[in-house]
Amino acid sequence: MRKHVFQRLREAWLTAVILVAFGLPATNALARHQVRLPSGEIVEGTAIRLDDDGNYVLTTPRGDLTFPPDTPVAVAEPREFTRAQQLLQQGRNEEALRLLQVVVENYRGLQWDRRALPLLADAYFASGNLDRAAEIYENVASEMPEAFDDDDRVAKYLEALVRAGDEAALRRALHNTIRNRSRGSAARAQMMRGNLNFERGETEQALLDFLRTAVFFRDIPEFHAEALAKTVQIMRQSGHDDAETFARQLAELYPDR
Amino acid sequence: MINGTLKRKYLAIGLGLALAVYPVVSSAQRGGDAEIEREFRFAAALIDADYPEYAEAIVDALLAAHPDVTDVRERANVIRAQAMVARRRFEEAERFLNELPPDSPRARAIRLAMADGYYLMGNYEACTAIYEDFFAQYDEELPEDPDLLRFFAEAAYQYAQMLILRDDPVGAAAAYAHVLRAIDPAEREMRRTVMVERSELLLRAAEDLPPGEERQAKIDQAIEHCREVLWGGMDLWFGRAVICLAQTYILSDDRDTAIELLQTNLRMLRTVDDLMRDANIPLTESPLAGARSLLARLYIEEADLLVGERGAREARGLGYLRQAYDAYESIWRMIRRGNQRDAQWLERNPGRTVADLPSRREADRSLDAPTLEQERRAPFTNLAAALERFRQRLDAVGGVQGWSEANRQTATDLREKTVELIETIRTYEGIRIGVTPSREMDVGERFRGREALERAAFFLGDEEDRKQSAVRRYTQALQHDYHVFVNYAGSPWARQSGERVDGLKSTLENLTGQTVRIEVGAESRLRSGLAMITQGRTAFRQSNYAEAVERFVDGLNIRPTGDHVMGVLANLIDAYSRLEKPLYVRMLAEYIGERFGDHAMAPTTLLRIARFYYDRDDPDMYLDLYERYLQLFPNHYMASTILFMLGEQRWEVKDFEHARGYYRRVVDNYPQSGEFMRALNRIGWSYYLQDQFAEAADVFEQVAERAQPGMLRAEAKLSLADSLRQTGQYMQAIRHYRELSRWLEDRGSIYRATAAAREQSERLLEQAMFFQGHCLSRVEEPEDRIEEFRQGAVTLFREFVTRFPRSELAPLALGSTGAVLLALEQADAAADVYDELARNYPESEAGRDARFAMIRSLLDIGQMRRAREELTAMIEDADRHTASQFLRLGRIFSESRDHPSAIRALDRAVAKLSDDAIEPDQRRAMDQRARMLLGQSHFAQGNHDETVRHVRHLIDNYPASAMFFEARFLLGRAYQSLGRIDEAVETLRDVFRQAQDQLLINRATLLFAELQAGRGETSEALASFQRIVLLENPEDPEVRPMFEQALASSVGLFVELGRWNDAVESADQYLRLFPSGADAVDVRNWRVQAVMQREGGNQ
Repeated sequence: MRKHVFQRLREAWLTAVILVAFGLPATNALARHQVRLPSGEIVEGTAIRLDDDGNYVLTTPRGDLTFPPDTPVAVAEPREFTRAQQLLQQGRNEEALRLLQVVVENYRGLQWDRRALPLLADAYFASGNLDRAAEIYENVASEMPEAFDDDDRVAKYLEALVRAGDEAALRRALHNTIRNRSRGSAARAQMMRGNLNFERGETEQALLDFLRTAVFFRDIPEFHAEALAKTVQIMRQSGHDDAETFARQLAELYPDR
Repeated sequence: MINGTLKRKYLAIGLGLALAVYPVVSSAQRGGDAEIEREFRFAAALIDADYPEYAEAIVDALLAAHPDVTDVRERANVIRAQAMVARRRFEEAERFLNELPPDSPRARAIRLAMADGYYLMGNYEACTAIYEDFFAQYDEELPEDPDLLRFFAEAAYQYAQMLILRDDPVGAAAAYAHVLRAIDPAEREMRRTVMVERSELLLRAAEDLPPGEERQAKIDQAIEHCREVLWGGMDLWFGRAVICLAQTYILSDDRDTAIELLQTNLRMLRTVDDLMRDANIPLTESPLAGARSLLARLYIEEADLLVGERGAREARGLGYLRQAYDAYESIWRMIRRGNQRDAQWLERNPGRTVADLPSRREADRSLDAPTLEQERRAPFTNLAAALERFRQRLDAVGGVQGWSEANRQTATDLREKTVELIETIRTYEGIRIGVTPSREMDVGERFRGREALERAAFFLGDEEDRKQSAVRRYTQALQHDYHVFVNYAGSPWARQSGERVDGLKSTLENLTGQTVRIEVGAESRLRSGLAMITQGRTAFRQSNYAEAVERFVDGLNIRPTGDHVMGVLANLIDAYSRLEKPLYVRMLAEYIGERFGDHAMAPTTLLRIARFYYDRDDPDMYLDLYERYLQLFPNHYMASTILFMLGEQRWEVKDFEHARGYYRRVVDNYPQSGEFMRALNRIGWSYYLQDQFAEAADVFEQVAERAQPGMLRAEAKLSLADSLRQTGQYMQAIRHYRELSRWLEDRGSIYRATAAAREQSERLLEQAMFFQGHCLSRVEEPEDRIEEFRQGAVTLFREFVTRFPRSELAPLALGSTGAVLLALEQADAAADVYDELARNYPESEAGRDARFAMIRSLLDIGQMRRAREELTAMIEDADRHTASQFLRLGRIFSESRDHPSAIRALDRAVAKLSDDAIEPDQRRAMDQRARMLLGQSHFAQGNHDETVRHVRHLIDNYPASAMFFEARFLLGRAYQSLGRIDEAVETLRDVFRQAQDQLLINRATLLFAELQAGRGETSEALASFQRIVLLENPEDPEVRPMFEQALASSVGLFVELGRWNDAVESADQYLRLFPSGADAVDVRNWRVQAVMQREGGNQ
């Protein structure tokens, strides 16, 4: 437990060191891993890892050097990481997946393992292993929620949770998405939650989500049309006065539906 | 009996305290001033949170605890007055205010708050009276105290805002005059602000007045303020002053000057606008918006004139021609004056020539005489020529057909004057010496009337020219208005401009035959979103909620994010609620809570809207909304207060189960909150009042352990001991009574710190001592110590009577002493005690009848056998006892559920009624009571025939008995038990025929329904039960038990009839209302059965 906390603290600190203390624009600008000594001298190495006590072990031409945990360190972007990104873009998911697993394993506690996680989840998703994708996305959601600033990834995450069949996790994710993510993702989550409730026969609760999307999310036509249609459907079933108003809106805004 | 009596008494004290007073009193007392302060702060917070009724309860309790402390009383009155104001009970607020010192600043502030309340209620007269009275106090002299002076100024400003909302610019301007009086001259910027705002009001007032002195006075005051502001520097207020000044010109019908003023200052106002943008000051305040909107208005007026009705247009054109003529005439006067001056000089200086004139120009010296003469005559000839052209123009104007008579006459007069002037110039003798020319005499490029001539041409030109001019003007106006509408959403000008845009577009389209398109860029679209929101706000303020909703929703769809959104959503949810759209309110509440949960306004908005439905007594809505709030904002500072309040609300209708649910949530989730201990205490009481003494004991023990030393703790200790006593755990109860007694008697403790604390401590001590004795008297094991315990009980009862001789419990204590002594086989000592009882407490029931007291005490301490022996002895010696004594004994045996003994006593009472010499009325009354008790005891014993016999006797012999209804209910039950259903039904018909009280009717309906069900009339029985379910209110504590029974029975009957949907619906209702009700298990089973049947497609 203590080790875990220590690792989290160090990761946070590492990020700060990488981006600020060294004054470097981004870690991928580094060719090699660097360690700054108390004297200010920079020691470069070709590989870096953590030992069991949390010390940094830097591989240099002089051999492996060990530095205590509070040493400022800049870890260069692993080649595996760079390559995995390229492979993902090319749709070579299985290969990317293997490389990302290597990053997660070899750079544990060195920040790149965290950065590899969302990509790893994406790779699992793309390769059809949705259970594993859901599991890693859940981890990402708690470890680095900013990875979900990407609407596509949110969609994958929610889809993976649906397929994984963990309703409690899905509902939690939907709520967090509605609360914290972009309007597009929020609209998606609202509709998913509405559908979930609708399928369970909780039409009134479902209507609240459909209606919310129909009233306030005109700028997200991808979901607005569906929200209008479902609002009309439930309102007609329950004899609500506004059913026809929404039906007219649907016909005017989306005549092809 | 003792339990019954004392429980009632205890409840009267304890429950009263628990319901309203006690927790507060105790907490206030235990910590002294700090606690009092905390209670006041809590009460004030409750008022802020819009729960004045609970604030009142808090201060009432404080006052009860500290009746003699002046400071507490005064502060309590302040809170009470505020609470009354918040509840719009102004007369009562006034009463509390009158108890405060007249010069109290708080009283003054509350009185003004009351005026604000009157205002909100629409009682403007009362509001005005309070404010005017307040200002009148300072008519002569303003307050010297700087705080008070500031209060005065703020009140005047606030009042002015109210009057503005009431569209009373005159009153508002007068209120602003108070503000101006109160502002220190050194507060220059503030003065400028107020002056500008006052000017705007004065001009609004002047607009509504006909021309005259009053109107002009207002315009003049506005001008005076504006000029002072304009001197203050180039800023926001400068800009607004420019606009005001332009408006003064408009009001004085000098539109050209207004246009000129605005056009001249546009650049400067743009600079102000830029500065505001740079400083991130909201542009809603920008004066550029006002200037452009006003210009647009003036342009539209002008364009309307150009293409409008000709009379007005031509009058305006003639007006300009008159201005031009006036300019010509003015030049003529100047030429003549110059000429006369030169002539006089030449006359005074014989031999000198015009070349020597002092007025000559330097250039004139080099001119030869003929040229000089020509130069000097030129102003005359030029003017005459210009006038000639002017005449020709007038001729042309006069030749146009269709003039109005008035305009034609004006034109004719002007022409005649022009001809006359031309003639005057031509025949003017002085022309021979001419005049020294000057720029002012120019009638060419620099002619002063040239602009008037152009303006005249503008209005009197041909139709095509005028149309083109109008198009230009409308276009300019559209540019200004659209710019203001889109860029200054929220400014007071945006609405006017926005309203004109559509009209301008269609006017231009009509004039040009072309479609007018305003190209809207992304930025403009965003701005138009804000403009829609502004329109929504305006509609909202005007209570036009449908319009407000439409505008807000449109605006939010264009501007869905940003600082403005939360405020708009808050208004939108209000609008939905006022439009009676609960679905939308729920939807929006969830949207706000979920998507805007980080905004400080989000939780308060939900609370406000929930309160709206709370005040409308719509539990479906307010419970739903409060639950959403609690779910979405569990850490909000009001969450524990809301939960506690919801608990109190259920408590008030004695719905202890639901109340306990809320209190439990406070206890579980908010252990650090101020409500924690109150909630825990309430949980204890909820169990106690439902006779769940073991659970009550557990909770009271927690309160007693966790509460700070103080009355709450002491009360909990007493309740804990009492709960244990009720469960028969006498030794444990005694331990707690003793511990409590030690606390209360400790002279150094806070329980004896003040007179009030001592008084309350004594009251608790009295109960603790009595019940210690009572418990000791009832302990049955270990057997070898029983005698010791009973002796201890005697000692304690004795001490009790000595210490609390005036206590209502004292006769009972003596009676109990006697009973314990009897149990100890100390008959003589017991007899002495009963003598003492009769002697010292002759008015008590026990004092009036020692024998009776003895038996009662024996029953109280559980000595049933001894009590029966005493009864037997009395029956054997019946001649020495009265019917009344046997009747009373019958009652107490009946209360002790010893029905055979009760029947024996009552049979004896009935027998003696005919023997004893009793007044007939008394005999009748006693006979009725005896028969009723006999009926009840026989019913309890299952002797239903005997019940029928006695109750029939009562009914047949006493048709107007006070027990009319009770007797029939009992008889109906007895018949029901005997299977004589028709007779039972017939008996109930009497109730239906005679009962006026709905509760009685409900009770009869319930029994009637049971009888119907017993006869197999299932549908009819269901209808009877549903009559209660559909018509009665389960929130009524008296109705609630009947409602519960009717609802549960309905579920069973729905199942019996195969009405599965109804069964499920009713079951859900039951389980929602009575989750732990007596029939909850059955109802759940029925529900499952119904759901299975329904899903099996059986309905």
